[in-house]
Amino acid sequence: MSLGQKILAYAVLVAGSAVLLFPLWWMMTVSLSTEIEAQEAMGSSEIRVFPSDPQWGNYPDGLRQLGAASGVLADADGRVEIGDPWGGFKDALANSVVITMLVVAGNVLSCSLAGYGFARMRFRGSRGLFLVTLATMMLPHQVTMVPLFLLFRSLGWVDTILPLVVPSFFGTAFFIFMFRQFFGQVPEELLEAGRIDGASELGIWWRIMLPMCKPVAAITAIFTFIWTWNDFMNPLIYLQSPDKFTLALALNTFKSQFGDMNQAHLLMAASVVVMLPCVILFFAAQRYFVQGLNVGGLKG
Amino acid sequence: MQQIARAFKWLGNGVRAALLIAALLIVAWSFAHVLARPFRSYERTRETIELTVLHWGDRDEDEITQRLVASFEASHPGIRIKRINAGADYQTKLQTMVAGGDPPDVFFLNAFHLPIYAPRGILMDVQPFLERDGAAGELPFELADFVGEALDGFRFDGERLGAGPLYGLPMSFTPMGFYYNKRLFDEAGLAYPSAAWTWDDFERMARTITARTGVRGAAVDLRGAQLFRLMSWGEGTDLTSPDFRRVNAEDPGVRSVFARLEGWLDEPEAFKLFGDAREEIETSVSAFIGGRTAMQGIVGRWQVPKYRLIPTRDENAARGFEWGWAPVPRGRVARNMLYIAAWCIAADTEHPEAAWRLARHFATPEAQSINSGLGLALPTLYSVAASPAFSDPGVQPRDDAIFLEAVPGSTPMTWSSRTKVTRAMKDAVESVLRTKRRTQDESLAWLQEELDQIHESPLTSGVFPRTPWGALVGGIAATAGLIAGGLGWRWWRGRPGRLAWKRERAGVLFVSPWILGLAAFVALPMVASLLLSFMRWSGLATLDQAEWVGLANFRDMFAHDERFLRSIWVTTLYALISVPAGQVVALVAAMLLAQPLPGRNFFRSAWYLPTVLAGVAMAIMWRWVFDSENGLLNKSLAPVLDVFGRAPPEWFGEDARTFGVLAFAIASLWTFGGTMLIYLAGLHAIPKHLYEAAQIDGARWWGRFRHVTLPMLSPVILFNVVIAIIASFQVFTQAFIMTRGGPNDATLFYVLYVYEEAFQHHEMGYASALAWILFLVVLALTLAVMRMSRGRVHYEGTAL
Repeated sequence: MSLGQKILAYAVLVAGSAVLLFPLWWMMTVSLSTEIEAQEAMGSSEIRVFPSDPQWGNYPDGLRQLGAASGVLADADGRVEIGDPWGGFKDALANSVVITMLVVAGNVLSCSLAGYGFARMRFRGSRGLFLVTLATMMLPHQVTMVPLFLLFRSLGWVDTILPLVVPSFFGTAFFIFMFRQFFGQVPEELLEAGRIDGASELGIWWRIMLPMCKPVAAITAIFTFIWTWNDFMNPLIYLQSPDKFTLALALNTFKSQFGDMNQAHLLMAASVVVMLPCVILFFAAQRYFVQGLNVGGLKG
Repeated sequence: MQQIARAFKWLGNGVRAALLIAALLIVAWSFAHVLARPFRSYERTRETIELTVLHWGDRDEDEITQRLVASFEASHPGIRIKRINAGADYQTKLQTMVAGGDPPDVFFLNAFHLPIYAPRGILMDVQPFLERDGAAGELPFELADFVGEALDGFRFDGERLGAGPLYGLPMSFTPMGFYYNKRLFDEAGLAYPSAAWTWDDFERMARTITARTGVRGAAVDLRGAQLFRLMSWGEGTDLTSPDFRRVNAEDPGVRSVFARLEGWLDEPEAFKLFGDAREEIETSVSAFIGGRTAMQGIVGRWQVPKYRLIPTRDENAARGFEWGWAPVPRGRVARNMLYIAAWCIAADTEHPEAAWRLARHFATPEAQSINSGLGLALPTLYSVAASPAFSDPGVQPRDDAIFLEAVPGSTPMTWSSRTKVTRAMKDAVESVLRTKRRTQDESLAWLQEELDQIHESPLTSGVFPRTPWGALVGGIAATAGLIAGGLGWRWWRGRPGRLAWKRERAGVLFVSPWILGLAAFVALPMVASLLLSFMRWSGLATLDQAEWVGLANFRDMFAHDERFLRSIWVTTLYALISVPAGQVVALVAAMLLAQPLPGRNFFRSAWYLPTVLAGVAMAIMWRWVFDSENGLLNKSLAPVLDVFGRAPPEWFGEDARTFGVLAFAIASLWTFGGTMLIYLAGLHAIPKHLYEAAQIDGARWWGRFRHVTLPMLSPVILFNVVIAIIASFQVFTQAFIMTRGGPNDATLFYVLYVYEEAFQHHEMGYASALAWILFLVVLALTLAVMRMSRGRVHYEGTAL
């Protein structure tokens, strides 16, 4: 790259970042505003670069608002006490982490298996089955939601995390499709070499395919993480006890009786914290994306 | 230099290690926390009754409900309460619970939902309980103390609210009106609105304030057809006949309301009309808070907590002001409407007595006092309304009595039990006053046609047989079994030689978990929805209530569903813009970020970040960015367009039919991160030696892109394009939070329409039929793309 090209590249990168980071910056600004400022910011023409009087207390306040205040107990006289003000947040955090981790593990394993099968194994019916797999993505979830709910209800899984977790261990069409496309890129010679060395198909999948396709596994993990972490509709339908709610579901307690948005500043603060793990995870997983085939062992 | 570099590396590794340890600790703690849950919760004994309570509300209301539940449990040892706060998507949650045959025992409902729920037999009549306890003196409140308008407002006789069985115990309510900025009234030298003001007064005040202070006189929320109907009430009439079959098109009252509202459109400095979308109404709220609007309505008591935060003048001389509230102005007659929220009991609860006791508990004076403290609504007991819990002159509004004085003679507004009628009325109003697509005459004629169609459609009025579930399921199971058996047998018979068979078996084994998952969690619900598309089912009853309508859903859709065509157009337009634009941006970004530039990790994260941001927070931001008056985009566009003598568009207002979809497409560009990431991974998977070889052959930048990058990336490009097509036809969340399809169906995305039919119009069968049409369209598109790509996509090894 010449110097001119480099300067141009950086100019684009910086300008792009400014535009793309704008929503985050806006969220942060509102999250540090007072309630009245936040309310006004939503319809006013002025853009505050930084709130005049940053309210850092919004962050702990916002988190305490998440979910139900747990541990509300009444003594014999009917006097009521609220237990742990952080209880709602702690419960929701733990639930989100557990569900997300399980779904990530399930998706990476099952989808890479099936993706390998579709990409590199010849069997009759594979093409038809693959097309069916693709097709399942095309029906909007909104209409299968209720039948699926009836199914899980008949299994007695409502108000457990099972409906949210178990299906991922059987695969998700989107990721199967993605794995298949990437496995299609791996040179055939590598597989042949593995077979000649006497590796089983399972061995090839585990020792050659997965290491070669670390970026895809990383993408699967990250997408799954973000989607599951932010998913609102499924937890809403399947979870009932407040102590089983996820963070995304708990974020929902900012709408009042008449449907109005209250305390937007706390909502923004809580939203920033809730999305933080996604950002950190993405940053930490960076190095897996730069590993291409070259690192995987193929000499150029 | 090297030392610095090394120090940075150490630091980086240190941070990474610390993060990893922290992450592992959190994961370990989370699993421990979740696994230990069964040991923390109480043991349910055999004698315990468990009641499920479903409600919504923000954290303050949540806490109040929780306190009430706890005190109820303390005084009723045999009863345990399972409390669910479903928040914003209350309807979806309630409907799934009812459809599952497991409705909550006690739940929260607004009076305007009664015509939908009551006729379906979901709600219990609590009048007998009330009478019994009243006679026995067991009520925790005096019946005479109960606000009659609120109690009667929750009665429904099958036609109108206000009489008939009592379907719940009202907990809070509010009349509608306008908030006004006293400071601006003072500056304009006007007297404050009185309870007896008229629409003429309202107009005069708004104009005077605008003329004398330069601030807009009034921001008015149409709230669908609500404001229109309310103003018609003032003229002693209504938009339609009470049975919603006839439009009062020639009625001078209706005409005068239209004329008045249309007149406001010509005076945008003094009046601004808002539509129905939640965030749009937020805009009118923030304009009031910012002192940029003198009057804001029509709203109920529920803005009080928010407006109490406005500093008073002595606290902040520059911005602060005092405010007041006045009921809806009167026309020829005075008639206001009430919002009423009540606790209802499921008709088939197993524990009616316990459920009633709980509902009763929620209405005690103590409970209502706590609730009034929030300031969101009026208590339904006079004694509480008179107490300082509600009427505290120490805080704004100084005059709470005006809310109470507005109650006598007010009634809740009855809407049709067919939500489609409500939607049509809203469209009729919005198409004249928001998108200006129709004239008064056209709109009223259109509404009449629409009402005729809804009421005469066989799907609405026809009688159909119950679905023969047994035969249906048996037949399908048998057919599916036969087909599967036949295919399996053929497959087994045609097995190849030993070596190939071994490979084949391995392939099937690899795919087998997915085959199981496909059958159980994907195919089964899909078949169910396919079956539903031949039925009429509200989703507000169990499945055995479904009626078999054959092809009527599909016939209706193609014969006379204007919104079906509209939503197809909106979605196609969106796909046409967003798919190519998104792919190009993502590919260019990925190629740029694949360059070995120092600091690219930072830029990758920065560019990916908007994808992580989701939900309500983003919707609020976009709404503001695209706001036609004060939005960021129009503020920056205005000076540029001014040069050409043009004004920026009203994205979600008057110009929404052309620009609304464009706005969504633009917003979608912020979330190209996922696509970019997949391209990035694809680029890195291209062996370096191919580029080197190309370079040796003398290929320039374009040549390398054309002959190495594109072919090697083609499987990934195909993937991204197919996924983008599928995704663009399923746009939902953003539109659901931002516009709900409005104004006037300008942004009615297909899946939004499907959702609306399923969960707001309660037509699960029709929604399934719609979904299957979408399915076929997208399938055809995808197959076309795959076919076109054949020969152009390069695979190593097996091709498709």
